[in-house]
Formats: sequence, C-alpha cells, structure tokens
Amino acid sequence: MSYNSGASDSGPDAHCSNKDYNFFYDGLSEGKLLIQKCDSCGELRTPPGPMCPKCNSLKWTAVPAKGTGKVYSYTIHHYPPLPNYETPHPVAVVEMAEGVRFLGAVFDIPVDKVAIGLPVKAVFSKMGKLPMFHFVPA
Amino acid sequence: MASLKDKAAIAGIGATEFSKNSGRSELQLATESVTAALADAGLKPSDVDGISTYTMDNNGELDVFRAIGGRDLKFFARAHYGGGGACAPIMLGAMAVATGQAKVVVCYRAMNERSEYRFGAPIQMSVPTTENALWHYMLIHGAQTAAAYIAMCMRRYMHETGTTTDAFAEVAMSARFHANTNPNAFFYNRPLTMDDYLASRMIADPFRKLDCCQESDGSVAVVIVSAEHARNLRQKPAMIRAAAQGAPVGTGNFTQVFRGDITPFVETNLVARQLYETSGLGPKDIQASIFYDHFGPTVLPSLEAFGFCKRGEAKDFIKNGNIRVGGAMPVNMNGGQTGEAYIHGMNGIAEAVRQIRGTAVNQVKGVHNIAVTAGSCVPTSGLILGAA
Repeated sequence: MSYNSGASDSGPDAHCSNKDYNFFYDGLSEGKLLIQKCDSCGELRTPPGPMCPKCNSLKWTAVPAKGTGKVYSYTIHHYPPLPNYETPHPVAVVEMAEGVRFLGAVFDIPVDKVAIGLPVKAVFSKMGKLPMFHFVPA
Repeated sequence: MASLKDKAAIAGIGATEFSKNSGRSELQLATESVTAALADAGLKPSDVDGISTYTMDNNGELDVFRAIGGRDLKFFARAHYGGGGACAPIMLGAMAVATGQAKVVVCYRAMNERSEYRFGAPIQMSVPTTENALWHYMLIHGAQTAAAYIAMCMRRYMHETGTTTDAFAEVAMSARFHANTNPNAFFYNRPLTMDDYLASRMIADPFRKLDCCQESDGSVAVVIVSAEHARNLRQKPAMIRAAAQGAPVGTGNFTQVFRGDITPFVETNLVARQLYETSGLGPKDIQASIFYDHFGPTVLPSLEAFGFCKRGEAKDFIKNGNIRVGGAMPVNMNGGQTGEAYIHGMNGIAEAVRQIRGTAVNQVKGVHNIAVTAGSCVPTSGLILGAA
C-alpha cells in the first residue's frame, strides 16, 4: 500500500494519508476497522490523532472495532453526481458498539429504509485499488 | 470586563449587482464593491490602512489594496473556514480600529461562485495536511458536499425535536416572501408556493434544492472605523455592539459528526452566548436577525441558539409569519442567501447595516439591535450591530 506522505498529489492510487492516519488505512487492507486506544487512560478515539485529548498521552494502540453499530444520522445524496458512487447514495454517521463514530456508506438496503437507529455492521471492500469499508444492515 | 462594545462601527457598505455570470474578474468585483463602500462612507481609497476577508475568497488582500490605489497597509488578516468566517473580518476590523492598529479597515467578499467555481461540486483532496487528511477520511464515503454534511446534522435535529420538512418549507417561503419585494434579489417578484417547494428536486435528503442557498456571482464590502470617527462621517453608523467567533471542540470542516451533539445549534450558541455576554444584551433586546442560510433549515436551530424560542421549539415559533417582517423575529429581510444571492454571508451583513440605518426595502420598524450569524456546522462567527 502506498500513501501520499509527501507534498505530491495522492491521485487515485493512494489515500490522502499521513503519519497520523496510515495505521487506519493499513488496517482496512487487513480487514480491520481500527480505533486508537490510549495506552495511558484507555480512552478510545476517532478520527485519528497523535495525542489523547483526555490525558495528553502520545502512546496508543490500534484496536479492531467489533464492526457493529447503529445509524446516528444519515443523508441520501442525490445531486450532484459523485466521482466514485452511483446516486442516490446513502451515507451515515454510525455510532459503534465501542461508543466511537465512523462515517460510512450504507449498502444492501433500499435507500428509503435507511433510518436513525438502524443496526449496521462494517464490511470491507475496495474503491478502485484502495482498501475501503462500508456498512450493511446487521 | 474588557469588550469591543460600541468601540467601532460600520460606516460604509457597497456592492456590485448579484448575478449568475458577472462577466468580469473577481478582482474587478472586489474593487467595485470596496470603492463603493468607501464612497458610501465618504472616504477615499488612500484612507484605507487595514483590510480583511475570510478564506475561500480568491482575491489577495494586497491585490485588492493595490488595485484600488491604497498607500500604506498596516493591518491585513484573513479569517478561516469560509462561510463560517463571514462575520470574523468584521470582528478583526473592529479589534484593529479599537486598538489603534488601523483607522479604516475594509472587509470584502468577491466571487464568481456560480460562473467559475461552484461550491456545491464534490470536494476532493490531495496534499495530506491535517485538514485534508481528515477531509479525505470523511469524503471517501461519498459525503462530498456541504449539503450532505449539513443534511446529516439537520436530520439529527429533526429526530431530536420532531421538526418536519413543513418547517423547512416555511423558512423557504419566508425568505422568498422577502425576496419578492427586493429588486436586488435574484428571486425578486417570484413568489414561492408550497407546491413549488415540494416539486423541488432532492439534493441531499432531507434538503431539497429550494432549501439550498443560490450560487451567485457578486461582491459586497463594508468599511469599519472607530465609533468616534463614524460619528463624523456621512452615514448613520451601525455600531458593532459585539462580535465573536465560536468553535466548540470537535467543530471543524463538518467534523462535528464525530462529536456528541451534531446539531447546528452548538457552534451558533457559543457565538450567541458571547455576543450577549460582551454586549450586556439579551434576546428581548434584538428586533431582527440575519441568520446565515447556506441551507435555509439551519435558521431553525439559530432561532433557538439566540434564545428567541426554546430549544426544539423553532418549528412552532416560525408559524403565523413570525420570521417575516411584522412578525415576532423577522429573519433575512433581504431574502437571505436562498432569495437574494449567495455572497457568502457578506450580503447579509450589508442588510443588517441597512436595517440599522432604516433604509432597507423590507424595513423592520424600530431596529435598535440586530443579530447576524455566519455559517453553522463549521467554525463560525457572529455580530450584534446597533444604532448609535
């Protein structure tokens, strides 16, 4: 897996990532949805960051999420057309079993059935060559 | 407590026409509105020693300064976060003149947003700066427009408050009610009915096209001087009673979706609390409001954030014409950014100044104080302007 860690454009062959995010995309390529857990106080955090906002420790371990959660909110994107998805395209803010949130597309369900509270689970996929994940009904 | 209260004023406003294709450069638009604002105040370009805008303007401060024939620039600052920063250049300008860093500060927004850039297009990232890496982490899922993110925030607001799209429609129709009588509005003399609203295409559910601001070309500028200086100039001053920025932790480029409360109430409420605290004013002291309507439905949580009604009750408060001229809290009397034009909030600030002067086309009677906000769901800013 290659990342854009310099000053060049990432293009379609690399995630726009840096030293704070690389672990996350590495995890996706191994079929894991990783959450940072603070080694000092145990606080979980998404999105990625170098320091625990709760105790300011720089030490952390990436732990795999169970992958299950519930839709906290969502939209159905209709317009304009998207570069990588067909429309209408459902996207949800998902509150995971661990309490942290991920953003993700919701597939394998009619768009008018997406709702707040819908139980979902993460599945791993590809967007072109890039490792990706999305949600499906649990 | 130290505060900015009444230390500075907006002494001039200027604008180009609002259109879908200006036919000239963005820099030309900026020079036209800035020199119009200076002339309105009775000042000259050579009087300007400070200049301020906010990000997503393609015109450099120094390019505008050179183009208008400025001399020695002593204060130049650009506030971040696009439409969320709309009121921040006014705050910066007021701080500059209140502290003697500058005497005459011009603030501008000039853009060919419809004919050249289109903010509604899908956002994509390249160089992995802190902001871009976080953007990418979100954008890859196909939430790639401001509409999509703010739709998610307002979907949650609907869930928590029982608000329905009937309230969204009333906000849209109220804005167009005002635009109908504003000759500068794109939707001048073009009434909007409930049927029109419901026939409007879906953009990002629950937002329809008519919930979204327009895409516009145009420019608006204002001139800020000290309160004392303003009293000796041509126009009735719009005093800057209070100015504030607000970004509760987690707020960023729509990054609050990862935070506890994602409703657009949060940022706007932090700004409202500061505005009230530093001005000594409260909701009962405000006669009208300019609420930033990148998406009209966000007017609802803004009414709550400023305490004009209780949290979750805006859906009832707006009934019976209460946000139209003559109602309990008139909002966006120029037609707002859905009805007049989308000049990234700066046209709303100009409307607030006209309301204080008593020269607006849809004039609210007896405006002594008016609240103004910038974009919600991003780090934001706000003002209370008042009569001297």
